[in-house]
Amino acid sequence: MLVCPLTLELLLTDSPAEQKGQPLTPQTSKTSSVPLKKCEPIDDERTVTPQRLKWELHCRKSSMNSSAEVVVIKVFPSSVVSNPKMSWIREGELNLLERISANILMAGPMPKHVAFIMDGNRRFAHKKNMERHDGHMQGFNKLAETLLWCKHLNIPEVTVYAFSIENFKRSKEEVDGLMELARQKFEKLLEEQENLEKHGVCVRVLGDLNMLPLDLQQVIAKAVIMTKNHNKCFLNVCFAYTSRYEITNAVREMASGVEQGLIKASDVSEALLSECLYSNNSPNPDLLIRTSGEVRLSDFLLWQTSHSCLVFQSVLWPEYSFWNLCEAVVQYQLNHKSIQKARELHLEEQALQQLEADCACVAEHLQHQGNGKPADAQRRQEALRHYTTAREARVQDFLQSLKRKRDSFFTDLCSETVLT
Amino acid sequence: MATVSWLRVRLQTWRGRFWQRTVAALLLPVPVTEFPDYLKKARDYDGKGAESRRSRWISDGNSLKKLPVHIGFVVAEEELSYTDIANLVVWCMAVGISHVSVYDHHGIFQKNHVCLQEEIVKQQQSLLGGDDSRYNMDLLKNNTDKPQHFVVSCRPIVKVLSPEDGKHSIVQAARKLCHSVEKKEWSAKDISVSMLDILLRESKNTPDPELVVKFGPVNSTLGFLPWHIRLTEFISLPSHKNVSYEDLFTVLQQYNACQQRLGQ
Repeated sequence: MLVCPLTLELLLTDSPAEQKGQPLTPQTSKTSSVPLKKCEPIDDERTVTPQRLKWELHCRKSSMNSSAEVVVIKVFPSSVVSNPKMSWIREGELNLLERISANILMAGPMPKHVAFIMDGNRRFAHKKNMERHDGHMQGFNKLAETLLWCKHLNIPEVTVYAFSIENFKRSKEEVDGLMELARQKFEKLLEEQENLEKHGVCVRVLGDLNMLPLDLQQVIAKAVIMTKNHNKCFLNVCFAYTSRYEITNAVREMASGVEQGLIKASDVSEALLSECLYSNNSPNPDLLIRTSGEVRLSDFLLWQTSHSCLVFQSVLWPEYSFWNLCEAVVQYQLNHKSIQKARELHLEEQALQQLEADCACVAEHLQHQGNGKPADAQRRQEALRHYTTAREARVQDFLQSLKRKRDSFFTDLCSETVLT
Repeated sequence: MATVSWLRVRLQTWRGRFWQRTVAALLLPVPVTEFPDYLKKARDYDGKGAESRRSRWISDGNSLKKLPVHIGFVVAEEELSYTDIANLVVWCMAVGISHVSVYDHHGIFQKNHVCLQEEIVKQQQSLLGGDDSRYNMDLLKNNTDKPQHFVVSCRPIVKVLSPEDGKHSIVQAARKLCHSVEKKEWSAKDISVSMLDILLRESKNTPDPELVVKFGPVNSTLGFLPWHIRLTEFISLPSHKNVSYEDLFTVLQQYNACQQRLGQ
């Protein structure tokens, strides 16, 4: 049961570091005469709701002595979001037990790239009687924490599913809230330039940014450009993303390459399609983790995870712990050998298909040239070599033009901001 | 006619070039008289058991609020057992699942689809018994108030898939689209998700698999139809060897409990 304190004081403060000061209570409540209790601040004034306060009180009840008459909860005005807890980059070490476990794990094969479906923020909020928005906020904080664990586990690349195209179907209020959260987070990212440089973090955003509000697009473009040369760790944020859309977009890019005469339709191959995906700069994920007990991929990296280890965990994302991550890595290690074998088999098949396609093109070509007469083996070999080289050159040209196009999308967005 | 329906298993492969061959072989109704004697005996002997089993399976199927229309079996094991897969297929038919896909990442089932087909017919006989058409009608009247549903369950479609039906088929669809762009039939801008989806869907009536049961110790889809598994629920079982009807039913119950929010 919740024991209500006699006085509840909301302390609106300008700086998270501030411990004391003139309380700027927004509505009622008298000035406190009792020494301030050390307490966790609420992140943002807009998140204060009756349920939230009830929850905060409930949490603090245990840590306070029962005679407390005044409970002080610090609330930051929305303009101040410089709470160190909400940073992208966390500093910190693992505790002894975690360090030992990490070292044991790292003796085995480690995933180089882990993808997360961070599911369960809303269920967490519901469970804790919070607003949905707070659930998402907690989810973001957990991401920062997880990135730190990955760093300690020598996992250089992480991809997260932040916002699906399907999520646009949610209530306007929630979508706007998520867009606002993203805007704040990317703005925050821009402030952390030094830190990102120090850790060599490269942030990429995968998805169709055209679906987002222009100001968010611009902030994202700035962040992407700012970190694009960093190469120690990589964070890919899938935003306005679904895998089917990504694959379709890749096909569209190839088709426009055909339209421009850069490639031929017969040059379309599995390898080329992979290169046209948003994720073309990353190796395929070794491990995909979905939290909150759901056992489906929900249109996330369908192409890239066809030979990845899939781990479904029942924990809600904001409650994800270092040990959950370790468990998933152990799963990966148990699966490593067989998945590796399947991958090699697949690569062989892919190479074979490419060869078959090339041979078919050459055969057709020779038939045209020789008026239906069969060509001798040597001539066929030579023609094949010639054709393969020409195809590879075409494909390289095309990919370079695609890269230029994608780069200029971001630089254009950035220069637009300068102008406005 | 109902007999023919029960005995008819259309074994299709996802790809066109297999399609003709298999359809020719499989659309032929299997004549009852051609069944080996030992099967007939087993059936006569087992007649009663088969009847009660069958009614149980049908009522099990009806007891579930949500049943997948299309179920996939991904076998991630080295040794394959045709009999066990055939059992699974027959049970699926019995509970009323109309599309079954069978996959292994070496493509062995696809290479030996004839073996699998024979095994399915055999298991269908021994598990479901009854080649008497009256039999079906009775069941229809007594055990289900949704006759339409039952009729659908009589004509299950079994597809045998290999990795070539996965990424490779997406690449082929892409190539096809690019060819028509080359010929100026389409413009690149016209290409949409639904267009690609139609190309990758063999027939309008086959939905994406709602449920995939993965057998074996490897936690991966191993290349199973990447395009089609967007909303598929994955449930694992340790092995397909000696898998029982109860195992399958537990999985179906698990699936029944899954909720999809479709992004909302």
